[in-house]
Amino acid sequence: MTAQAHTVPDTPIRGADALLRALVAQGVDTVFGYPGGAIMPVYDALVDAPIRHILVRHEQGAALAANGYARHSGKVGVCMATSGPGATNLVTGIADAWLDSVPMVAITGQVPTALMGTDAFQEVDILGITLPIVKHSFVIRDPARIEATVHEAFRIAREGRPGPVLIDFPKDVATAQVPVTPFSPPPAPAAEPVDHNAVQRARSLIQDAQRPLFYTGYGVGLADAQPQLRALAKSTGIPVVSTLKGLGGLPSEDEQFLGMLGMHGTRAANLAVQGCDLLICIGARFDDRATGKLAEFAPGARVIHLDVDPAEVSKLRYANVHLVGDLRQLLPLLDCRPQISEWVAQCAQWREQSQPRYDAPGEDIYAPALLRRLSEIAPPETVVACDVGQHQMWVAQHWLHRSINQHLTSGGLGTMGFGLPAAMGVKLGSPDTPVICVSGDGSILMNVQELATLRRYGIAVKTVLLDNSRLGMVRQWQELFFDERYSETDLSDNPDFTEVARAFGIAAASIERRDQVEDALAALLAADGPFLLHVRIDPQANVWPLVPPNTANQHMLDPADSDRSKETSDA
Amino acid sequence: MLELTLTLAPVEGALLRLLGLIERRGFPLGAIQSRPTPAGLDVRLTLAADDRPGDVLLRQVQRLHDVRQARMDFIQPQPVAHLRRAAAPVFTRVDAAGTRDSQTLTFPAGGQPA
Repeated sequence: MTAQAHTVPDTPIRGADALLRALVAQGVDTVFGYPGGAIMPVYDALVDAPIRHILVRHEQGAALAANGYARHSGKVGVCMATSGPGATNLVTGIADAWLDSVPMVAITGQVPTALMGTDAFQEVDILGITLPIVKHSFVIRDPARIEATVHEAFRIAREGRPGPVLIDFPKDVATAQVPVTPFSPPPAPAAEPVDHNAVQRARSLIQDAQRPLFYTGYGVGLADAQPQLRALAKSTGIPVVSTLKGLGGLPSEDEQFLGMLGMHGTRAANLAVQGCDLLICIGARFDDRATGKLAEFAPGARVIHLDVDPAEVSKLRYANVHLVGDLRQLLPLLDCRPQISEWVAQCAQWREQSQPRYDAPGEDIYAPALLRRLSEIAPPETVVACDVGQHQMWVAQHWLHRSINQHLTSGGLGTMGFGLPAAMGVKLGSPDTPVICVSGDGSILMNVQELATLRRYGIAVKTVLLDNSRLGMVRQWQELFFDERYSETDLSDNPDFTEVARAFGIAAASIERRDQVEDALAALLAADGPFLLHVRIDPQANVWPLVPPNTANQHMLDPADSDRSKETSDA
Repeated sequence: MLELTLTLAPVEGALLRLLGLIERRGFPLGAIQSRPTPAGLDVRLTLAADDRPGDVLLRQVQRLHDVRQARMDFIQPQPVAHLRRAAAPVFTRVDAAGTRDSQTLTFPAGGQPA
């Protein structure tokens, strides 16, 4: 984000005005929020500020919209709420940003400093509540520190590994008169010096490897290093697997790309990881959903770990070579030519055997096929934002991912309710970009109130609601791992979602047969404004493959394997 | 045992943030000493070492914005008969230069300062 020059008034101004001056100086043009008592001075100042405020209908929607805005634009997302319940309602969105390394500044009103610590009306210790889920946090007690604190918060949020920063802003500080100080953008941080000895060790390992593999994550997107990753993959010929959030680093259809690894990863990706002798981890963090049983993950591999955050290296898996720094700078240094033709052929064979099929029998709508088709016919620059559950995994597996920042998903926290506000944030930040939200009948109701925000601002988010009348992923686990003892996963008393959408003023349609899909997707994409397509799907559909929890990744459950074996034997 | 020696910026929440991080990352806190200095707040902590690597914890601590400097040492408890409490071990810091006595760091088995 580029800091903007601004004039310096001669006379003192209100603290709230100073806060907004600092936001403007940071280039902020959009904030997401909801007013209330303690933050009223800031909302009063907003009336005169050159900032667009998006009034959400629940503070969680503000935090998740700022989160989505930041993920796609690369700018710092800003959300604000009042003290007490306003602040606590931001917490899930802040935690989501923390676990997914999203640059965000959350501003909370606070009771006047004289009342802090007295259990005043709408007082909570939001600094204390959020300590474990922020990159840093501030309480501004000195009005003279307002602008400097805001600038520091933005620097921290975006620098190195990004993350959320909280600013707690007491009401008396917001109304105090403060002198104005000119803002001087700080110098750009010095680049991390490259450890050339480590680079040389890494190159030697790559050159000597028989079965090297790139394991890539969202760090590639955060570093804006997708071009460098693609260039390195092409020049070395090394196959690539990706985390959930790294999808798109290489296009889904690239022959070197073996798919997502881990619990719902492809057979090709998991077999490659388990069989490789050198794992080159690029901006990923050995998350348990990716590794399965950690002690048996990539058992024969040495590890090279590249990350901007030194605290991630060797955290869960010992790395033989640590390369800490900017991926854009580091990746080109690893360009070499290992002799790996046999390994590449093996991976290609696994890839061929892992291709999903979309010819499931029956008239019911097969969600993976619908998603695949939608990604084929949507404009190539379309961004898809997911909620959490089975549909999230189907998007990961079946969407044609073209670029890492075109897929927004709550990977770390797994926040049901993420999709709709995140999609809203993307669309507001990039009005010309087509944005699709894929949700489920459980997730959509977590933040359904944001349909009102879509309506209010005419935000043209297209929502595909996959409705199996269940909490599908939990139901799947109850089926597979809890002896089919279904506990509190039946949502068959869901409302009529098209009526809900229409009540909010959103156009909607509903389909339940396969022969309706093509026309419905065309209508969805052609709609001028926001649109909700309700899709009824089989309540018993499961996500495959699946690696059972605490199991090594080569032990995948997948009924398609027995089908393929049968076809082979029949032939 | 691990000994973590730090200087924190003297700002609101700095010590809480540090202690919370250490416990959440799986290192039970033993003893805590702190004192304000012109450089900030000097803090010394002893932590029970478990199977998680201390160097990773150190890097996690170092990325806190309130931490100005941090160092971690491995220390070994040695029983000393003449101390006030017979059961209380003395912790002796072991560093690259050899062994140094650290008679000021005395803790009973329960972890409270002696």
